[in-house]
Amino acid sequence: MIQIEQTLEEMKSIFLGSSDLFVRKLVSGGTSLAFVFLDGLTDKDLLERDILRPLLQAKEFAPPYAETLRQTTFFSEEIKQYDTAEEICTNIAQGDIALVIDGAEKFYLFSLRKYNTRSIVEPPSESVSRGPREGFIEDMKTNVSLIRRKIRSPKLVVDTVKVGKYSSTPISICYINGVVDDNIVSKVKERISKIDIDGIIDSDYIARFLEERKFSIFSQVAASEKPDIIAAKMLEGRLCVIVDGSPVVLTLPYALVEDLQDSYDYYNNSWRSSMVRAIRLMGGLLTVLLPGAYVALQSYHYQMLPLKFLLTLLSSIKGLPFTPEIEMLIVLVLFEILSQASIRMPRLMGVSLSIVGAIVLGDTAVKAGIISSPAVLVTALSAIGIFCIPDQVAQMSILRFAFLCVSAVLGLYGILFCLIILVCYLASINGYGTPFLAPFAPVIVPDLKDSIIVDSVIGMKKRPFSFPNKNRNRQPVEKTENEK
Amino acid sequence: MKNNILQKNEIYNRQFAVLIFFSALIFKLSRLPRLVSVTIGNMVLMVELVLCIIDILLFILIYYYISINGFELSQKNCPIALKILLVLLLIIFTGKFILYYSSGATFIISSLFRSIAPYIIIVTFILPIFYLAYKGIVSIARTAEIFFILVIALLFFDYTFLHGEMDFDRLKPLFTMSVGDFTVNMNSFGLWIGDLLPFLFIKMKKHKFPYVALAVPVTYGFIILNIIISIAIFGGALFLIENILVIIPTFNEFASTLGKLEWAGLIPWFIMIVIYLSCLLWGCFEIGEFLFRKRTVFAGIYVGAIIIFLLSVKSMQYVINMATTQFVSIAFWCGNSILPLALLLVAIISKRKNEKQKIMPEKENAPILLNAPGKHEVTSSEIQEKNSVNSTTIVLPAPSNHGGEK
Repeated sequence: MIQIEQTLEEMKSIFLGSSDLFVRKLVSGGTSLAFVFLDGLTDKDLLERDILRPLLQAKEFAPPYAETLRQTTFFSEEIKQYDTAEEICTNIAQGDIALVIDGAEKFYLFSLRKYNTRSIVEPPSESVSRGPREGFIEDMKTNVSLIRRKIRSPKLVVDTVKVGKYSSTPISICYINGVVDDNIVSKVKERISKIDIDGIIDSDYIARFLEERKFSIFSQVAASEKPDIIAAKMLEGRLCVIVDGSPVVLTLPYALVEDLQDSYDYYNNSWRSSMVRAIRLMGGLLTVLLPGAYVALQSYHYQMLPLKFLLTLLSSIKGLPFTPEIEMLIVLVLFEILSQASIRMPRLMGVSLSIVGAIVLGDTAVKAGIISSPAVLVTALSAIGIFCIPDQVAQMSILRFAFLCVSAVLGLYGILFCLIILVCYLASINGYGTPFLAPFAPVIVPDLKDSIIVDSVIGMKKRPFSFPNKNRNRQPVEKTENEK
Repeated sequence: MKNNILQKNEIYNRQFAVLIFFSALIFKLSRLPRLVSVTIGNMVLMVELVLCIIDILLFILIYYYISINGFELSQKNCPIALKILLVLLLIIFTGKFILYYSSGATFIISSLFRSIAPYIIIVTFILPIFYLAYKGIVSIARTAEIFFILVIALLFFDYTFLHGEMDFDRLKPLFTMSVGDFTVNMNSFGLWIGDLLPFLFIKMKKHKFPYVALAVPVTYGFIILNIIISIAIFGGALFLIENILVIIPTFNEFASTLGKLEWAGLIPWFIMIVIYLSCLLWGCFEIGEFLFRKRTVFAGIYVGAIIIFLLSVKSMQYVINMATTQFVSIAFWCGNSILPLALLLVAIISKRKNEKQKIMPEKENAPILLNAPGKHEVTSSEIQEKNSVNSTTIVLPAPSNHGGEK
């Protein structure tokens, strides 16, 4: 039997006397009650209007308390019951309100969580010229509702678990039942349930646990901040993982080609989309290979260059104090420094930084004869190209340096050698039954419709074959004469 | 676990077609023409033709071996014979790998890095090959599939805009020596057949479209066509051309505007040689795994030994010259042609043994089945169930990995 004063002391001691632990005592129908909650995590208005006020006005408050509470208050959700102070305190820490009743057998819990969240805006990292502009926010419930607004079906399942010893972060696994492969769902759930960590701060924490190759530089989980992208991927037969406190939602299974895709491609003419995708791929390849190729051609294989180009190049590198490889390394490092500084610098300073970086540093260095203008041009091309595939910026940046270093030692041969190893490495990754390079390796012909070539929505009658899913048909497929 | 070798080595027939294209083409086009030209002068086309025909015949054997699951059957029913043949095959593969590897490395040194120390190339060239081979045929096949588009695009570019002065009269006369002399001279080219032998260990996923059947004539047709073009361009000077695949692109319409288009040949050549050598090395690893069970240890020791050997020889050219000596060449002739035949024979015997073993229990069970109430077609599980219930003395052959030779 609960002794209210003694229990409140115990609860305070569990919270180690935290100053934001709020205790509101009252007497209802002659019984002493106390509401215990953390300040700032609960909706006090609702507490007062729907629970406190009716209880204060109640003439009688007698056992069974669960039933009395249901009759007296306006609380619509289920009132949970717990046996111990430890259990109830765990829930208080998550933003729930505990009701301690003097002489009762159990503790009662009301969930009236309220956090201050930012409004739904267009995500800065995924801005679009066409298509929905709403983006996920840090509140998981809002994020789930954003998906539900896209997929209005009872088949959309949301399974929530809590991960993190101290953070108890709610993580939701969402999928369309009957479309997603059951094995993938169970594998993801199993992996998440095995996570033993002190806290989950962002969805990227979870992503690392869901990846097949833990130490790979390549991300093996797709991420987006846009509900339309996530809903489209779920309709293809993928599942998504939403982490409370993160605006980035993860999707699985993942293939590298997803990073070439953009929502813009599906809202536009397919001819234009195909062209744009090819350019994106070209941009990515230029980013990674161009600095290395420039150094290789200049250092080892200048005989391969056209004569006129070679003459122009020779005149511009004349008198430079550095070898081509050192020069390119300097320019690339300089660019990375500028890039990091511009991300972290206050926005107002950004303009002046770009002026200092681009004009003062670049132009002066060329004029001073420290670096050549072709090297700056190559770096600029590579720097712009990197944003053609924004989800692979980190990876491409590392690879660019790797290819540069290899080409400095082994020239064109080194680049090819590295490229083959890289492709083989990527080809050997299989996450959740999905080849990482699908639909190119292995070639999955039906999925080529949504690779570099983009078919219109009408043409995509089937779900992707690159990864397992239960139901292949997206649109009714006309039967052939034989099938009839 | 041995049976898993085939499960893990399963590739699509489309991927197999790509591997055939790369493997059959690479050495027959790049290094062989010069060697033939040096050895027997103006009969490059005939030599290539004969070698291609032999390769096609060998491929038919390999394809049949794959389609009957020869490796799996032999493992089950004739493991000792298989082991002996695989040891011999490993020797052939090792020799082939060393010679081909030396040939590739020599070309890289001579064409790209005259100033660099050869040992750097010897050591670095093995890295992608080893990595691919270690990852397995599925990864190799996928890698080949990715690069196939690039290789085909570059070859298309090279040959569509080919701008060489071709004189097809240079092909004449086709025969400059008697058949006897020709046969004797052919002895020197034993190394260059059986390039598709490593694929004995793959398992192929069937597809409606016969990619493999298409790949073989296309590949060998391309080789012959290329040789014809090369002779028409270079004629008697073919012995000066170290690598046809790399030289042909330099005779291009766009060479004046895009520079020396050596790279347009160098890229496909490098990709194909790495893919092919990794297939060959993978074949060695598969044999090593079958014989010694420890794949990683075997792979490490094996590649280490090869590198030490190559670093310790006088020169890479010395190793390549070994390939044309009579003894080595005849050994390759025998190994490359007899071993696939012997492996197929063992597989066929194993298949028959397997069929016999399947028929035997059915015959032995027949009286019981006839007595069974309500005659119907009885499944093997029902036979086993009946045996266990009635405690009859019929003993079904126990499933075993080895099976054992009776």
